[in-house]
Amino acid sequence: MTSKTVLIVDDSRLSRMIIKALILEKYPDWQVMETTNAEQTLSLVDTIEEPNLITLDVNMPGMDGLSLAAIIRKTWENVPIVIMTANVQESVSRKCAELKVGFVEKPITADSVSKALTYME
Amino acid sequence: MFVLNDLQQDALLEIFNIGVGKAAAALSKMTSEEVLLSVPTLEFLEWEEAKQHLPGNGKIICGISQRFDGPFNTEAILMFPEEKSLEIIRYILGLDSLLERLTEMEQEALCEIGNIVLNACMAPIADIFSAEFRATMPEYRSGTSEHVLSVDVAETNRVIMLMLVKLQMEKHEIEGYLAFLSVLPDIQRLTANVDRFISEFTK
Amino acid sequence: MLTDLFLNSPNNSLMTSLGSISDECFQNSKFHLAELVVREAQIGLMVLDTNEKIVLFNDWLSKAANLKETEALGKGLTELFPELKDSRLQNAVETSLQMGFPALLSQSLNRAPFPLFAGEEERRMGLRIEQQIQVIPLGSGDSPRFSLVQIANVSVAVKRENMLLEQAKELKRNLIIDGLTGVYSRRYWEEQTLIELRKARRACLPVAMIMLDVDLFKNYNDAYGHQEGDLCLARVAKAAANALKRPRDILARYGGEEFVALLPETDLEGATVVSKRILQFVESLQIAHKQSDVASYVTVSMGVSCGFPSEGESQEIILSEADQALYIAKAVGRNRVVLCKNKGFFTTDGNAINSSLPERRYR
Repeated sequence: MTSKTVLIVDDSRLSRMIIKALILEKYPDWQVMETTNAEQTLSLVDTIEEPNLITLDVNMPGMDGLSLAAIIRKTWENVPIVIMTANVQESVSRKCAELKVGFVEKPITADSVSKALTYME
Repeated sequence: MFVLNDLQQDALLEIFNIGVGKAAAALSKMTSEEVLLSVPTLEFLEWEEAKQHLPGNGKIICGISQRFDGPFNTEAILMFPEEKSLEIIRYILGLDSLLERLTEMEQEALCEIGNIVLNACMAPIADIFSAEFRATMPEYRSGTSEHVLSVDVAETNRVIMLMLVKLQMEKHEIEGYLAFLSVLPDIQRLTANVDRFISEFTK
Repeated sequence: MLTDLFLNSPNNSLMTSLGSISDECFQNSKFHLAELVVREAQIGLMVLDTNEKIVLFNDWLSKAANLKETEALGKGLTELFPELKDSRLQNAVETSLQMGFPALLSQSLNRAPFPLFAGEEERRMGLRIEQQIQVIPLGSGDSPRFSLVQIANVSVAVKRENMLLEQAKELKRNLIIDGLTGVYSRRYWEEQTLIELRKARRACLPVAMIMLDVDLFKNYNDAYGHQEGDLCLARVAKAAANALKRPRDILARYGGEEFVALLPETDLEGATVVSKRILQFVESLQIAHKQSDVASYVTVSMGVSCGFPSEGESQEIILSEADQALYIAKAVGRNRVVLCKNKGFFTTDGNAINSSLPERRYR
């Protein structure tokens, strides 16, 4: 498998650490980037190449993950995006389906991260 | 004053965030309405200070509280302004608003809603800590937020942990809060658990 | 703990576990007392083990469910009560066994989950006992967990509360409806007026009001007595209310023999049509009035006014103009409608009334 790039968007440093650790444990040569909010993410969107996967938290200060996903899609039309949240309301999963983004339930575990990675295929 | 390092604070918020997410989902399912969540705030305060941070502006609120004892002890409270509690419960029960106060049966129904939401919130937290909580039956209280959230007098001079999340139900313009209150010895047990949790992922 | 001893015994049933204790010891033990309490308690008690199998089923429950204890013991919850499959109750029992969390099932949100009946008659009619259920985890940590399901009969409380709600409904009806005449109350009229004026202000639409007074009603009372007077008022009110056609039009008793109508989204022309219809409807009642110098039957006088709340015309202004118009209608001969327009007073044919009458203050 060739080296991939994953962008993690989460305001929780610990969540980012865990996701990153779980990815690198499986794929040590992958590149993992992190941002903590929508603003940081959007400035990155203009400067880097399209990653192979983006994981998004929903409940963040400022813009929420779902709105952010919609904006990211304007630049990167087909980038695989997966929403990671404990907020399992019907409205959230419905919006995910509308935006054609993946949905993985928190807490973050080895299982939930491998499920998130399946959205790359 | 009691302080957590950044990572501890972050971990604690994230753990509660997961619980709150499940709680919102439970509330949303009961009301068939989208529940918006604020980013939770976490503060360590003296009770006197904490009172200034309580929502409600001295208005009458209704709260449903349950005490959870386990890896740490906490008082979990779901609260709504009184008139909004009437609206929620009568919406869920499909009743007309005839009385200006919650009847006994309605209070009980509100207790059940609080029970479902609070249990939903604490279950993933217990999972994360791989531990169990013993929980009390939900209790209905009404009064100012200071009264509803009142901690034991003997402990009022000690540091308390106050975690607040705002729940918003747009269709009904209802704003409620989820609050978690813990006193100092419990906070220390909580942080010990958080440390253990962090070390599992950072070793 | 006493219950721990009961429940952790290898045997499933409370009774068989007690059987292994020697009789003498048993008679004197707290177990005996506990058994009696569980048996006699006037509340439903059921205990389930970790496999959701029933290990305790007390007499109250046995009687209300019409099931022998032996029929219940060892059975699964949904095996004994198939309708509870995937119910909130089953979910609560699972949560209490897995997580150790208690649950409250209120009567309002769950009604009567168990098929429990107070007697044969109720069973035949399908009238279940109203239930409040608490699911309480027992034991924790290393000892095996049990789930106690406690069922309280809240039928009396439900009945009491329904009565309270009925009374509240009645009270509310009385606030909305005038008891004597059956048209709306003044209080309700004022509430609706506030709402309608707000709407009209936003939408820049006119609002019309009609003040109505039964002509020489004091004479009618004197001639026919108060009982007949009340009947006359009710009939006039009903006729006037019938003359209002749209659902948002409201006729209310303002006080005594005075009535007021609120006509949202209506200009002076529209209100004139309505007031003439009222005049005609009341006339067609032909209620005899021998003490009237206006006609041989009961007549009414009306003042009509209209305003645009968006141009600053308040409820007080519109009502006061209608009231002045009514005053003039009475002063110039009764049994007629007078319109107030641009501070002047007119007949329904549009003729100005030159009145030098002293201005009457709006009450």
